[in-house]
Amino acid sequence: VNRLRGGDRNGLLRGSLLVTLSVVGTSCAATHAPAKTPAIALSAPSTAKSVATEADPFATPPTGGPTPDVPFPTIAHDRLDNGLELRVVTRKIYPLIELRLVIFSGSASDGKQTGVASLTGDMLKAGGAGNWSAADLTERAESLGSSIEIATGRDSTQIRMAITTGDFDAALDLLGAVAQRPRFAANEFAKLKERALEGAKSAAKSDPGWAASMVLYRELFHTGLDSHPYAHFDAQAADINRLTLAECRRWYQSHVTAKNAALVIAGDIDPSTVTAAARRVFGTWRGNRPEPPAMNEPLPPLPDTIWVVDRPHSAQSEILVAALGQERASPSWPAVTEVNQILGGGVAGRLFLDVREKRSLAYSTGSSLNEVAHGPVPIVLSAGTQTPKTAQALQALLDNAQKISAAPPTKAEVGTASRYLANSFLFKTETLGAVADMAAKLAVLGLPDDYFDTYRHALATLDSASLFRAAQQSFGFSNPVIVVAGDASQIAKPLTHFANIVVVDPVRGFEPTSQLPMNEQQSIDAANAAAVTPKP
Amino acid sequence: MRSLVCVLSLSSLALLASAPAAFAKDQRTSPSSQPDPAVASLQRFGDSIQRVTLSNGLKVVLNPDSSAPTVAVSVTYGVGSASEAKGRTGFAHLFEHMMFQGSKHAKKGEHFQLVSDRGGSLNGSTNSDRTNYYDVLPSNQLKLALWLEADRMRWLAVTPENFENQRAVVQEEYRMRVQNQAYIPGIVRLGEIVFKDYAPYDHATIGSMADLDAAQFDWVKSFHDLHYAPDNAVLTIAGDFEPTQAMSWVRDYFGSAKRQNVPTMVFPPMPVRPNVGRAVVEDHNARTPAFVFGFMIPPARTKDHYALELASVLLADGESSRLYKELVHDRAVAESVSAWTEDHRGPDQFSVMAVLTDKAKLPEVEGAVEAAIARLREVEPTPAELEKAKRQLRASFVFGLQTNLGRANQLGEYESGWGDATGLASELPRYLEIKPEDVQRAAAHYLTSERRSLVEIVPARSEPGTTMGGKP
Repeated sequence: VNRLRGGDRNGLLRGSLLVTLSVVGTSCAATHAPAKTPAIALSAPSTAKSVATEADPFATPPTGGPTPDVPFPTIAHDRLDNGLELRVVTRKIYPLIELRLVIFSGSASDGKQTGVASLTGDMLKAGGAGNWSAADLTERAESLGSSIEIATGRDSTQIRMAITTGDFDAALDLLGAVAQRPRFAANEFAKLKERALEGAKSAAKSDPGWAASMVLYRELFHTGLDSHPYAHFDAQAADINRLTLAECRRWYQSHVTAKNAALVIAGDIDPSTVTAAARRVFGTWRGNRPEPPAMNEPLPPLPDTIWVVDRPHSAQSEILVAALGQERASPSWPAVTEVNQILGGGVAGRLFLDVREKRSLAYSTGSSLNEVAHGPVPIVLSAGTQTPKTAQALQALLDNAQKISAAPPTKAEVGTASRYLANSFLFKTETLGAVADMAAKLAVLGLPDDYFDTYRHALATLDSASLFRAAQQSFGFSNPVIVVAGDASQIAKPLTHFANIVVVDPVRGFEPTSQLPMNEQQSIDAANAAAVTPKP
Repeated sequence: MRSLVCVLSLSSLALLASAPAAFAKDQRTSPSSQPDPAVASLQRFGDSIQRVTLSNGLKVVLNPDSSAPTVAVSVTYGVGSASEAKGRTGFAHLFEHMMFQGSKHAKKGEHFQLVSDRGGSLNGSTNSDRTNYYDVLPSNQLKLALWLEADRMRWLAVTPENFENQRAVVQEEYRMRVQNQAYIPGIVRLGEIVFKDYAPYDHATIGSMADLDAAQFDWVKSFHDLHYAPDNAVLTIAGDFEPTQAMSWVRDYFGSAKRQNVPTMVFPPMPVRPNVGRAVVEDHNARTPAFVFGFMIPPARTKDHYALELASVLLADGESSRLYKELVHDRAVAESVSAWTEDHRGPDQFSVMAVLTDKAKLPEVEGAVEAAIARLREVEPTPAELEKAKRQLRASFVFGLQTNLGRANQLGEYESGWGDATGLASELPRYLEIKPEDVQRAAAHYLTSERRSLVEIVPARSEPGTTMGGKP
């Protein structure tokens, strides 16, 4: 069932929504300038044409007045004696509250047990907790008109609920039980593991984006013998199969602790009420903060190589072109986000206008910054294109990747990107869920409360020259990782125009199955490249 | 239960008087005896809605709300895939793309550029009954949004170049959403079977690749000339704006748009004996088999439809739902289960789907789902179970109020499809009024074996797209 907060894979085709635009969004962060800060370039340029004349109201686009200037809402901080951090944003427009219990460990803390963080997170709920069996727990949450959602990312695990105001205490009791008193019932673990195995096998077969990302992260964060904490986009079936209940218990005991957590609340509630409730529910929680995962240096990617994730009969190819850029804490981060916006962050970005609107090669295309807390952040360009046009679409992505660092962006591009990144946060912070997520993000990335406002001011100071420097530093793509998920028998040969081809099989552990040597004379037009089965 | 996306609004104090028992219970248990704050929020929303109709037939819905310094403008046209002729499917969705290709004063690409430049977002969407176009901007840019929407309503650049360009993009979308997605071709096939004898809904909103290939520019232009006019549109503004000023701008930009006397869409009555059938679809993207049952049911916003939407919640919404508990959790024979309605203005479709696990067999799981549906037909749900479903709805309604865009789109859809945007204010009580016996009665009438169609989706072994099947 699809509701206001739900998804709907089926409705897309029969009765529901087919949307015009599908661009890969940026994950950069910005918001409104603080009220006390001086005005910055948030409004339309003064050089814009004047307002329409009385005779013809359509003569020129209206410019509008000053753009509203609203800072990110105040975050109230507190901390319990056991170290649990509290962050509360009070907004009383609607009688709603969003809850996030943020654990500062995610899949980067898997160690050698790939997938253990995610399986443990799911087990907190699936195994029952406190006085509730697994069935009772979901029944209780859904009886509140809510649900308990577990989201395991690279750098954090979040236990989330969204409720109407009157149910706050009941919801916090559920979060408290899940975090502090999980039962880890053995029979439920067996069932959960089976479901996770089925899900991983289905993703390998059915989800081209998942399959391509698995190879992309493996190659971006390749370190030789040691595994980098970010090298696993997700767990494969074989990884899940190896995991035990004891390993999940150990991960829980090490990472799900009071000193390694923050309770983030946004909505119709006062900070003092949250503190009192948190003291009641979490006051006796114990545990220390674990050592962060060791971040060894990734090796340069294998040069002149395209990884083809074979999906026989695939109608479309999913193309990813990626490189590691600046660290999230870099002073040049605002510039990096603005370059990304110009390249492929939205409908005014170059990839959308060129690859989609001009060349008609893709419905969905764009670029994104896939933020990580430690070390360089992956920059990922993507496009989904019909199988015969795969090589042309890759060429289009590479053309734009090359151009972004070859010449400064225009003044108009800089202005549009800056204003979009700054002003769009007015509506990106409309929901309590978004505000809670942003407050949680500050905690996970270790950013100050005024970060979003500072970021917005920094955008206004950037010019074409500074963006060009950032592009040259981070968007060079001199040796990118290229992954294409598609029908290898159709796309491998045209792709030899660019590089050596290594074909991997997603349903057999992504092991290489065949390869083709680079051939620069090869036409990128599939019509001139007969289907071929690469040689083992 | 797509309709729950559509219903944001609710309610007035008068509605409280007729609220069902569960609703009243909330009131009684409130220590302060104050009105339910969720309902009060919905009431404020309902009270804020204003409606105006211009002389050219354009309907305007205003929802001023200064909670956030933004404004959403949504134009809903009363044309969707139900308005398409045989052999010309996918045109409504194609126009959803064409509308971003430029107009007389906003040249190609300028709509994207202007909205982005002012910090805004835009998009459009199509379903069987309507198409909408929307912009969300900082509140100082309302006039720009109206300028853009009026320009393309009046002077859209319907050119062969834009048509060819966007046909190719739409075909990429088809590959992404249909051909490259596991199980989706089977769901499309089910709709074709259920509505085989009911033309408006006998094809998917995205249309067919063959029809897109065959489309002629003149056909597409005729479709535009027939449907895209002020007398077939609803303009909705939601957010931080001053209504008098906004209406002045609306009249400036839209007032002289020419009425086209667009024909009213008339839906034939639901067939007494809907078509039923079954098919097997081979799917190269599927790892394990799946199946989906389909039943023709009454139109959305009828009492039986509300009851059947609640039935879909009982069956498969959440981990405590009947089918999830039995098939996914306890027996581990399904990787996922889902149940939904499409929420058509005309006859609708109730669907139940299960994707199998490795160890499961289709007859076994189909039998279990059929048994669950039979239980709905034969036994009333308990009051507690129905109350849980209603609490989920109640929360969703209030969460859905948060964004200006969400309110603008749903108001536009309601005004376009059901004639009066303020009618949203009576939606939640209609769900809450449903009693256990209503669910059983509706299930017994509509979710019967005689009305059931079935599509089985099996992993392909040979060439793609092989379809078999026929009448049972």
